[in-house]
Amino acid sequence: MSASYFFLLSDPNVQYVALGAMLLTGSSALMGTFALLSKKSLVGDAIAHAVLPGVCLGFILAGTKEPLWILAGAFLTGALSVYLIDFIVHNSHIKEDTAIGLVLSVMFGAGIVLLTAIQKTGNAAQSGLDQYLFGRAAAINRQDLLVFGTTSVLIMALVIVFFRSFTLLAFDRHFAHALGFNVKFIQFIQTTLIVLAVVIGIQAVGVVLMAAILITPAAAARYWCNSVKTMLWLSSAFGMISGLCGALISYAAPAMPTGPWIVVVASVIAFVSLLVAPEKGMLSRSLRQRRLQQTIAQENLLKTLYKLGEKNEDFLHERTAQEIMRNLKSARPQKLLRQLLKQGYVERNNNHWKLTEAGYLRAQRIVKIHRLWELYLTTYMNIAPDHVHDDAETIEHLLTPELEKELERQLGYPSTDPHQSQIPYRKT
Amino acid sequence: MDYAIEIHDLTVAFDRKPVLWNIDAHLPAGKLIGILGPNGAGKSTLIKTIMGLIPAGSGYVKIFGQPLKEVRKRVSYVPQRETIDWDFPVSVMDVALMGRYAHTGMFGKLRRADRDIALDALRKVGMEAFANRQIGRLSGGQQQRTFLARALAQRADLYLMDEPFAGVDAATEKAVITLLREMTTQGKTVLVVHHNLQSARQYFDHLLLLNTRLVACGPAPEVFTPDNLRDTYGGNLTLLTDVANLMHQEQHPVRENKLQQE
Amino acid sequence: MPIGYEDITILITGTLIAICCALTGSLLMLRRMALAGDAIAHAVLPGIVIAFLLSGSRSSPFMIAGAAAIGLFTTFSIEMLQKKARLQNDASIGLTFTFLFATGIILLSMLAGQVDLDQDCVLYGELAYVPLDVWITPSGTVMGPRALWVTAVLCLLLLALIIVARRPLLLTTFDPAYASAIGVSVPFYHYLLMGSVSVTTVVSFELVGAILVVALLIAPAATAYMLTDNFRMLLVLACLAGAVAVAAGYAMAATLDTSIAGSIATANGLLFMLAFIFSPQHGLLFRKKRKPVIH
Ligand SMILES: Nc1ncnc2c1ncn2[C@@H]1O[C@H](COP(=O)(O)OP(=O)(O)O)[C@@H](O)[C@H]1O
Ligand SMILES: [Mg+2]
Repeated sequence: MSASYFFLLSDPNVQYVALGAMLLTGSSALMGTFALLSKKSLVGDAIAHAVLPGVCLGFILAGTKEPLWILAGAFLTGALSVYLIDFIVHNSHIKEDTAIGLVLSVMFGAGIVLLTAIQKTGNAAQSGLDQYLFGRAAAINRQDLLVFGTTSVLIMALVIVFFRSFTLLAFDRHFAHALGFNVKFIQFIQTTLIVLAVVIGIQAVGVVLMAAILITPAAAARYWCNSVKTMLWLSSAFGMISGLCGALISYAAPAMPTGPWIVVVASVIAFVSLLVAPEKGMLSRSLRQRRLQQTIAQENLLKTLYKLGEKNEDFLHERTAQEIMRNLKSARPQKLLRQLLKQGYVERNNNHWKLTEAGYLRAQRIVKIHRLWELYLTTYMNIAPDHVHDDAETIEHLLTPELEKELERQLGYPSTDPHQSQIPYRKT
Repeated sequence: MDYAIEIHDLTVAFDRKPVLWNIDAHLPAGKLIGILGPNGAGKSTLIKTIMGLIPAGSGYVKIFGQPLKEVRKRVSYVPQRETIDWDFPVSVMDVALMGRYAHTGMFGKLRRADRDIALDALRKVGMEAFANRQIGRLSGGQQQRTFLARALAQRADLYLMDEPFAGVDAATEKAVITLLREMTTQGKTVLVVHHNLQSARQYFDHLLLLNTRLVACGPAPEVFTPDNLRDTYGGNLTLLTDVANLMHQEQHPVRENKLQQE
Repeated sequence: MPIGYEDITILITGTLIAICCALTGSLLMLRRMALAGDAIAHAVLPGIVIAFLLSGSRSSPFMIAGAAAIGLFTTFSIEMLQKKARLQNDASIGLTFTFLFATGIILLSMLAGQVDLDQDCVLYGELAYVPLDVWITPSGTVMGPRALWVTAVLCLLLLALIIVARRPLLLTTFDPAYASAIGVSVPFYHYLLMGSVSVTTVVSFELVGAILVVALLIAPAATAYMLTDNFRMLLVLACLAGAVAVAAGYAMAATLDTSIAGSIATANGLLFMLAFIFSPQHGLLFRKKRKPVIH
């Protein structure tokens, strides 16, 4: 962000807008976490679109852009859409996705009808009503801030109170029921809060793109953590960042609609998250695969050295690189040897290589697991001895020490594998 | 002996977690063959892999000594009923006619003869009277018979059926088994996933007992022993389960050279 | 109210669009991909804006191709987000289309004045302007409204596609496992359908706006689904429901002096409501008590 944006922040008007946008998107993203976890994020999209006729009705009834009336109208039609989707799905063979799309588009269409009708009445107060379509963060004033701020705080408070119930509901509603939770009531509260979150979120993002502020920050947060609590924090933080950026951009360039910018910022956060997040990110997963591949190749090389020594029991004997290569299918044995050298598993003497003690032990363990697993497959799984090699080739790189012990125990520390090769145990 | 299906060293994994380990089996042609195993044993997975619907992690399957591609028309498949959308706007006759698509192709003309074959198939399973009924308006047994008719209409040599007796009344089950028997006497091979141990013994010539791994495969009287049944139904091999879970967790490849594949 | 030449042009164009949408939408609904259709309808916006900027005209083949590519890209990236990034299905759809639509709106605002396309058009479409945009051949012959030609051609193409490929489309929708077991390429028909949805969406988008496209894709299909158990009948009734809704909506818009697109969407909803309540087979009034649903 450039310096001029920070300069902007000292302006009290900008402070209202920035604070307002952050409150709105932050609390929406908070409920979005639960919408996402209960696989209801697209119901959120339907609610958002369905809010439009309510906004217009609120305006018609109040005659002005009174935030409370508009909130109330929006809330009513938003909640109605959830009810309608449910009703259609339960009373016909129509599937949920169709019901969502149907309610979403028809209610939005009705909203457009009302909006156009209002605009044609020539009522001066209506100007700006269409800002609900793509967000009106830049127009937030003190009074708005009060109403939306209170709602946001209410949402946050209720999330804290119902945290455990919501989490359980999203995770396993049958279990929740069995535990004696009033599932219907909790569901009702959760739906109400999601509708409320949508209703206030649209002030910042607008109805068309509101779904993003429910889904996107929560989806981004999902990549960084494994606990619902952390996810809530992160999700609302991501929401707030998007809200702040969107508000500042729309303030700096008034012709720009706020909503799309908030959505783009949130989306970028999500894309970055799904790429680089540790553990769950795509990069880290493909990196782990690379490392696994490397380990397997290295261990195969150690195994080759070990097996060369098996004939004459001279495991620590030096071998030429050529001899190793003759017995190993690998594209780059030299590179592998150098890596193993650095890790201290092999030693080098000009063109000669030999296992170190550590390398010997590691290779021995791999060979042992390989042969034990072959035996396991033939004894416990009735697999013919000539069909067990390939499987053992991969399992030998995988087993943890605990599983290794368990394997030895179940087989009773056998001395030979199905092909009558010795199973090497570590001397104690 | 002629084999309808040869399974070689077949391992199948979902998200790197093996659900079938190293299956090796030869299934004779012209027999009624049952696949038995507890829930989650991998019975459906085995059938789907034979049909080429799921890629194998290792190993391969041959049908009538050839790869599936060469013999598709000769193989028919009846999916598990849960996978069907019973609200779908198709009639019993529509479903039966689908069996003919394997021969006419997707764009070829459906001739009078094709209709007759489909109708004949419906007659064989006693569904002729319901030809125009939407499939959701049938009883469970009738639904199953409709899909059986589709398989019959395909006039295949090998039939793979995933739990055709689930949700089916006893009378239908009897009638269908008689029909399948009759087909095997005409040289057809029928492979049925079954879950009722009691009836399995009488129904099938040949049995394949499965629980993640192959427990036994052979003529029914030889295979249907208390030992084998205990191995099949008496819980999982915990070590195997642990290893499978570890493979999933570490995203470890099923075979060394399959590392790059999904 | 007398019906003039313009009204007739608009009604015919609208009906043609409704038919295109109903055909593709029915298949989407049966595949439980209604919301993927919703996503594509939104996501083609940036494609339209960019193509608009580059080609400077509406409905050019260039633009249709470009936007159709974006439609397929949307389908593809939703699938990739699920497979490669392991994002859950609904979130993949939501994330993809909101991002693309937002990008489209931002592009529109940045290019305001450079392209003859604005937010109102995106939301409401410009069905009313159809008679004004006339196609004149290089030799000077006046061929009538351009949009009418484009939608008519698309409609014929889609009808031909559905008639020729009805069997594989039905089979891959109804029982994809059986279809691929007998050697039909399920992915091919999947992308063929999504490509058709994209082209339909692009052509309809300018005329009726993003949201109405969704209404026209889904609502007539849902209405027909309430009324029949026959696949062919479903397609016919969906087209019919779409056409009736266009006529009713247009009349409603004229009477209330309001948005045509919004009125057509509303009319679609009302038609569905009638079918939902009064359908002889599945309607609320005549429906036998459903079997208890086992979860
Ligand atoms: N598409 C899938 N993705 C992930 N796991 C699957 C999938 N299909 C089946 N499984 C798992 O594979 C195992 C075997 O399933 P299946 O073949 O359906 O068993 P069966 O038919 O014997 O009851 C089960 O543990 C099941 O959870
Ligand atoms: Mg099964």
